Amino acid sequence: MDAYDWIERVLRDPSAIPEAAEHPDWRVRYGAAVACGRAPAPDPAHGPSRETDPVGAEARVRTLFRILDREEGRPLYDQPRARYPGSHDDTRMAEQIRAVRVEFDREATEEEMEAWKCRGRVRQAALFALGDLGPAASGDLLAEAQRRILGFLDETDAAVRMAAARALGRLGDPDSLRVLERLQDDPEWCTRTEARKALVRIRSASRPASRPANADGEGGP
Amino acid sequence: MRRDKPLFLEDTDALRRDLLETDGRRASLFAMLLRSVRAAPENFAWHAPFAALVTRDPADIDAARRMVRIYMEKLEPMSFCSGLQFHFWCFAFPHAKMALAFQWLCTLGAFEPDEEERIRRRFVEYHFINFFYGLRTKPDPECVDNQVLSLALSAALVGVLFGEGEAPGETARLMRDEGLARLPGLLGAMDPSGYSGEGSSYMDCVNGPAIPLAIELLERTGGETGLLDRPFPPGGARPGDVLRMVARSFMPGGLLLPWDNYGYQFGVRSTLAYGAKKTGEPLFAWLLENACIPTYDIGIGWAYDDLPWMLAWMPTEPAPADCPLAWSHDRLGGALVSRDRLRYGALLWDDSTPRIPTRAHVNPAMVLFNGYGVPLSADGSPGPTGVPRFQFDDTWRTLHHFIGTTPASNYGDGCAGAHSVLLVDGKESMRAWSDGPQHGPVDCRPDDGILSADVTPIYRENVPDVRAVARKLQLHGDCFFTLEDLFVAEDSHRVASRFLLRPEWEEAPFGVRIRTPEGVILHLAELLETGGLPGQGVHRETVEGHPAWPDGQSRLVDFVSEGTRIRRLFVAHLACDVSEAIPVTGFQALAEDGADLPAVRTALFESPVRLDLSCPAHMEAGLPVRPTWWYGRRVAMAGRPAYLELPLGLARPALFLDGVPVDLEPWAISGRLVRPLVPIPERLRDRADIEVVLRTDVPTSHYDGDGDGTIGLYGGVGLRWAQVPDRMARAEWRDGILAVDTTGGQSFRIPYPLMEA
Repeated sequence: MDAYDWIERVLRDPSAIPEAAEHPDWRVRYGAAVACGRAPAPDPAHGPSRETDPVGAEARVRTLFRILDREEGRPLYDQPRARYPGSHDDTRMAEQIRAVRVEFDREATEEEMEAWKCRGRVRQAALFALGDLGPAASGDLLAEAQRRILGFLDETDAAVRMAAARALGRLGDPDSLRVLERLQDDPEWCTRTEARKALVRIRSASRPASRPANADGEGGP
Repeated sequence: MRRDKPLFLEDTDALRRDLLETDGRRASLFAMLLRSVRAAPENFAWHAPFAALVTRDPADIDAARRMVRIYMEKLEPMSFCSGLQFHFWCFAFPHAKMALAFQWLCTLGAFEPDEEERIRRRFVEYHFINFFYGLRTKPDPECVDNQVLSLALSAALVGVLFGEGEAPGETARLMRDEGLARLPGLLGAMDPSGYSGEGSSYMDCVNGPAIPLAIELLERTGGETGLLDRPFPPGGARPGDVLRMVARSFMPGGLLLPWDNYGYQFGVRSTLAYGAKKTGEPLFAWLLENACIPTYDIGIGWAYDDLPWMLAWMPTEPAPADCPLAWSHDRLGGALVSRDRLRYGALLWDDSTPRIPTRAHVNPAMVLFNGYGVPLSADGSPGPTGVPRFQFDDTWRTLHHFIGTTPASNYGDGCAGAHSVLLVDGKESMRAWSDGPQHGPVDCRPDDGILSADVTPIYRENVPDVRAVARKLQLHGDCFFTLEDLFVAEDSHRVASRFLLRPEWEEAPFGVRIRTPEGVILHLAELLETGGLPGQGVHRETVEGHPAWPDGQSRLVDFVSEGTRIRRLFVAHLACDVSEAIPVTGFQALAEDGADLPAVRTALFESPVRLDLSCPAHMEAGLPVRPTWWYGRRVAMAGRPAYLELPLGLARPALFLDGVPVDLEPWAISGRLVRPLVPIPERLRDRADIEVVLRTDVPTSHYDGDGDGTIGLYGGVGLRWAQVPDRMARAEWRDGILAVDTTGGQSFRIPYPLMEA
């Protein structure tokens, strides 16, 4: 099976998540992380109100920890610089249907090249999923999820920082308020926006008597 | 994937009939497209799938198939592109369009099953890894702009293509569901005016062209029709209003409002074609016929497929003969246009981006004039070598968009000072700081020739003691405009009515006058001068390097005075000192790269090829795609001052009149936006006729514009003569009566009550 088949499989069959999470190809692990965050498919045998989850929410959370562990130490943001003779390293390449050749300013290993393609993708997907699943965890597992998410607030990739901010909002721990306030000065609008939503969500949840209509932070701007 | 019918173009029989078997503009434009595709398919690759779908010619199918294969080979090296990593939306949209082209070709049986499956899987995997990830990066529902619209539409499109029909994939279905879930909310959360605040470029080249595809996709997946003009939740915006706003941003002559840092540019066509087809509103068809340039080749949604989509949706019926162009919207402003469309004035008060205005510039009742189809006001940004006239210490932004570098750009030219607005105490860097309202009550009566806006809030945010700032633009008798300014504050301030205009100054008996290189004259006269007030005066300045287009410079004039209560009333009178053009056609033509005139002259005048320079030779007559063309013929003179009007979009041109080269440097920049008007030297006017030879390069591919698009030579050659302009001779306001006389004998006496403070 190639990466496409694996992604297809893990999205169709949640029981494949644990195996996919250990796959050497980061694309498959990305698919596994996305699949972790998806709602389990309805179980037709038990009617629409019952759902089946062969993995279980807490097991999914632990799987996400393993996926994030796997990203540790990968050279995600330490790439050679690319150059495209006859084309461009910017959006102009998007428009061009031309054969392109990439050159790098230094030798790079296969691992570095793969890391370059990956950057924060796997981490983002894992953090989104942790945010979605975290509330189903409790005790040490929830605390561990919170601790891990906090570790991504200074990530190079803004797509990861925004995912971390959103996940903190979903977990709802008031201890996150201070770091979320700091994220409101993030250079990227997406991160600032998710931080602001998370702040609203957590503050609203801690004031149940005055909960506004858009307390889940998903309302209009 | 469905293999029976091409998505969006299911009725190909009707399309083929309209494009191949009927006469008319639509069919002739398709013939133009087909000629360029067949002459150089890889250079005009974005046109190839549509051509193949229409003709079903094996050679056209082969060319289109090669294009898909080349794209497939590009994906791996493209993974390392900074653009892909940081501007993924720009890559998502063309990826989805290429996937659509692939599906079209599959309906023609263009691929063997193994290759078809391999390509299908690659499209899906690449989109999932790079662009589904990108879509999820955009906060939902807060993010509403061209980027997330592109990402959501692309995910939905790729998802529908490969998540339905034969061998549907789970990954594709996930993207389909996510994309389709976000699309309606995005459409509904757009500004009810239809303007996204992202400037003309992103409105015209991304948001506008995305709407037809989004509507067609939603109608096919949801089974409903009529979605274009249905209000979508949460904001109740109607997608059709985006199309209408795109249409309203066209000025006479075809340039769009210079709403962002890109300044003036031409508009694309497919959005108008779709609007014409779906709404039947005459404005769309009229603009398509009269304001658009068929040869304009620029990326829409980062793909050069505007011409194919225009042909897909363009009505076959002729456009209406006339159509009013005046418009207004309470949230934006509007335009007043004379019935002959020769006089155009806009007053804009759309909200700007607080703190650092990037795309949505500071336009607190900004006035803008266009005359005889030519822009008279200047707006935009300096070119890369331009002098930083409007850069401020606090308008720098660092861009985290490239690996290894974090370039900084200054967005000061989005601030008030770079626009034709009221300036207080010389604060050129004035802008909005909060998300609060930027204007107050407005009066929009474009049919009566009146637009006015109270723009006090944004001024008060910057100058707290301001009590009122208002501006009113009025068109009188289809002949001239008035612009009235009112400023009231508790403390005394130095207040300037600023105008940023195109060159060149011209001597005027009163007021300020400019004349553009195209012979269009704008005369501004201020009528309420009281004299003797401290600091009162007219300050003029030549601004070198700003904006980059159309002249690489501008003329700034400030009408200044100081006080707590300041009123000004301007008359803006437009005239033209050249006649309408007489077309000059039937040039002998020769493709000859790099030759000089003596070497090419004999062959040129022996050439049997006759062309009109209406568009590049490979489009006009199916000639080979060659970069350099020579055109020559003799042109009759009439013994009086004359001008040769050259086509738009000439590249590296050279003009020879009776063998003598003419310096075209004065039009080197403007020729991209406005047709050069070259005076014929006095020594040649008395000849019976003169030899005219024009050499020009033409684009040989989509990509020659390096991202900014190409015009590709358009409009032909014309001969124009000097004429005595009907200038403003006198203007006065007294006791509520406005009196304006012109040198041509027009006389106006109009009751004009000043605005109430």
